Amino acid sequence: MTALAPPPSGEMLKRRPFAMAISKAGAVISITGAIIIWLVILGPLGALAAHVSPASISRSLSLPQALQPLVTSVEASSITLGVLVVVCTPLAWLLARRRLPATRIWETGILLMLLVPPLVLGLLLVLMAGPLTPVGHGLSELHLSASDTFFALVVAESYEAAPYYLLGAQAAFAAVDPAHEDNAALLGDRPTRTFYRVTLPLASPGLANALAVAWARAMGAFGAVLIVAYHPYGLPMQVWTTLEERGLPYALPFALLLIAVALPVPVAAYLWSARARG
Amino acid sequence: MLEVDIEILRRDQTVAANFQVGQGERFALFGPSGAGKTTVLNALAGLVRIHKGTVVLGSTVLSSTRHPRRQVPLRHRHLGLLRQRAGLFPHLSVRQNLRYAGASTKELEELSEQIGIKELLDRSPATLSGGQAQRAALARVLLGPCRALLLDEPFVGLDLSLRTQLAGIVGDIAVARQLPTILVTHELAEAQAFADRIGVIDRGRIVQIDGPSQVVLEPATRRIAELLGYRGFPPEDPKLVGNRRIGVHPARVVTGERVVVGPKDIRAQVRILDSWPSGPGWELLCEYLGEQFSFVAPQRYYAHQQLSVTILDPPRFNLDGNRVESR
Repeated sequence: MTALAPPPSGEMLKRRPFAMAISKAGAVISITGAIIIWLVILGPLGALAAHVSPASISRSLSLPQALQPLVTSVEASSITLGVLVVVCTPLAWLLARRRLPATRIWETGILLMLLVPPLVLGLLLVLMAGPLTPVGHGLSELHLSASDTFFALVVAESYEAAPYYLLGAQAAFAAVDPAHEDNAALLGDRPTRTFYRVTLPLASPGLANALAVAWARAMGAFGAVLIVAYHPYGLPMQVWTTLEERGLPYALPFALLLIAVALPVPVAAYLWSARARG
Repeated sequence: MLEVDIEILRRDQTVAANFQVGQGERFALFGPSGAGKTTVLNALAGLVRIHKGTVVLGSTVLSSTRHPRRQVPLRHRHLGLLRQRAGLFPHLSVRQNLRYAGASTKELEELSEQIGIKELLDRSPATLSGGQAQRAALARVLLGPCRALLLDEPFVGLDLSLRTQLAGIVGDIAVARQLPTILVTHELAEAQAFADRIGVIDRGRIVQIDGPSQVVLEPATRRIAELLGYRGFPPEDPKLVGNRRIGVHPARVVTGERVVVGPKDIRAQVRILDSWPSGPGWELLCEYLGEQFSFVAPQRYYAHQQLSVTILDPPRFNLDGNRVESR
């Protein structure tokens, strides 16, 4: 019987180099894959950096009123974010806790907003709130207009960024165990106090991520903005018109500026939330 | 006094409960999974709406579907709920958790000393073991506005010595503070060790309420006996097969000729079918008057062996499954 049994040590010696080769090959493949993916992702950024020189940046940005679109974009995006936080945060909580009737229909609506191409969204906004519509009349009573104004820019950015924030915030709230809220209530907290003491701190990493994505969307909003708020120029519109009127070399510095302003917030939020989650 | 008379509609069944728990009394709700134990507890806590009935704590009506209808919100119910998951707020330290309801430093220090978590106060809940977290959660509940304790299997998942220790602490505090306390569990031994009275709940109904020993020695029906661990129901009288049945509990069968037979005990000749090791002894599967049951014996017996055993004071059931007094 013992003679029939395979010698274990010999077998191990035969298998070990093969297994090691496989694991080495696996490591090489995964590292190479990661490098390729990074190159693909960062390729356009690298190309942008390669084509923009300090001289071209200063030439573009020293044009008269060159920085006004940046100011406009930052202001509009900040207001957009404020509106989203005030309006969409409670809505996201209600959706996450299934406190609204017909939650599925709400979610479908939000998903539709996300899926409609921004350009089409702009057309729909014109149809809904253009100067000749009842909403447009109502707005003009308030001395507002949803067409080619700063207000229109905020509206367009809000429509483009809202679904991203709503879905992110809903996921952030849904990740908070409702048992924590029950415990806080049983310990004597009223619902608003529970929200500020328990729900919000626990959801804040996810909320920060959602807000960062919304910021990037608002800063880069273009499709809907092109239709309803061509003026006042925001940064994406500045990139587009400079490209049309003066060509790529003049537009690239603005593109770099857009990235430089839009990206740090999301990256910082991601790093903070990753740290908060441990 | 906590007075409960409620009916809750669940998707799969209606759960009804009717019982009272006195000040400082420890009451256990025992039953299999899905019987409705946690539903009852959640209804008392106010997490689940009741369909019919009332919950009264002292002189306060917490829930009532009778006129005037009433559903006191969670924050005004003043109930301490402890669940299987300790549920400490993960973004706060243990001390901050304990102070959540606004306890004074003196109260906090005293109670954490009593419960043995004084050295854990500045730790984060994520760094606590299961037992430590449950102790901290207990302290948080007791430092809150707590007029009754609701325990939903809070000791599940802890090792036996820790469970015993924690159950002891909770029980002592319930008595010292005169809190009506309800423990929900699916483990009979835990219910017996903790409670002054046990309510057996099955398929959404409380089917028996009795003291910890009566509930096992005198199950009201054959179904309750099955829930309590009785494993065989052979005929009582070998000559009158099918007349009445006795309940055989694995822990209430003894082997050997030298056992002094009491007036209500039954001497039986059983045939061994199988045996396997169980703890320090052997579990024997045997046959007696056409019924199979198993019990634990100190030594091994083999298949086909005949063995003389004594079934200690078994409950008797008529053919409807209801218990009858022994002759």
